[in-house]
Amino acid sequence: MSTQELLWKYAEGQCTPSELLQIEKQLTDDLALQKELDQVLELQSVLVSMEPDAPSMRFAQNVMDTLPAIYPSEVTEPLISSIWKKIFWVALGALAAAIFFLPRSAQPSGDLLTPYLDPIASGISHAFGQVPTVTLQYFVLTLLSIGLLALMDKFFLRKVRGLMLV
Amino acid sequence: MENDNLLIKKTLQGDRNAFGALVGQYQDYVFSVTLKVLKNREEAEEAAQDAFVKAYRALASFEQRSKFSTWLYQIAWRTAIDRYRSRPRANHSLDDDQSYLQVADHGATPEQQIQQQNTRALIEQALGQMKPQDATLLTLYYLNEQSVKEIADITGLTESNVKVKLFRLRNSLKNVLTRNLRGEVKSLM
Repeated sequence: MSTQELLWKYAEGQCTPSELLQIEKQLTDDLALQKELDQVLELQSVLVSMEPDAPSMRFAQNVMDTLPAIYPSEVTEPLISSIWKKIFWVALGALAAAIFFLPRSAQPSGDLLTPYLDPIASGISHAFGQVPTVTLQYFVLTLLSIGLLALMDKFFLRKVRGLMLV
Repeated sequence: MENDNLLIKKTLQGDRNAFGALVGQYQDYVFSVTLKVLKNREEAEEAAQDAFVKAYRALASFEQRSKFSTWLYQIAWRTAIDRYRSRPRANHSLDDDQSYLQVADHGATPEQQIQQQNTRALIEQALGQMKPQDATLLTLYYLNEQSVKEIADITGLTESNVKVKLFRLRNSLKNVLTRNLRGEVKSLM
């Protein structure tokens, strides 16, 4: 590396310890090199303090006006709003509480229940002895459907956002 | 940089104001790059605007391997160079090794032209008279604070080539300062 290159490295504070020793020794011995360093430092300070050129005041607005509509926000909105999700969780919680904590008041009819819904519906009919079993079946099915829809909504929303970031 | 990534994410989710914030943050630096290449404010502003629109279109493909600023300056540099090359009389090479600092001769010696000016004005004048690539290299290095590697990525030059060019350019500028100093001394005598 030439002395000139070393001088610029020194001015920028990028010398290795051995380069630092070398250039500082040269600077002590050589007055002309010291003068040169002064010029380099002067130039360096001017270059570092340069200000960027500013475009016209309308520039940012002009850019925004010409942007194409390629990232529509509607796509990323959830299909089910948060209020419906809250209603779902409250209803599900109330139902679960009723099944597990209310005393049994009647025997389950059992005839119309499918094998999958039987345990749930019989628990419900124990809790709500006066409510027809079919009504309770529809209630459970509706809750399950809303839950499934919410999960699908979340899944597809993540997919869409993932595709946009690729 | 984290702030940039957040604004990019929001832009991709459809928030145009987030991109507006990126424009506000980088418009001066992008404009400085295009102005150094084109040396004409109107043209430079159009090129800078094109660069931002191109960046917006390609934002989904930005892989965050480099800084957003480096990626943006690369787009600005290429846009400005394309415009420069499409000019009818742009027949001189941009990557000519001999292209560093050529101070214009207006009939007087450089000493006579510049001895009344202070260092800053002198450097700015010299930068304004440099070839597009040279002025842009110095702008990217000092003003936009890009590293040698980042400048190489932006301009397509090799790292060693960038280092050599920066060294030559700075020495040329130093020589301008030296000549100016000699001129001042002469005028005092």
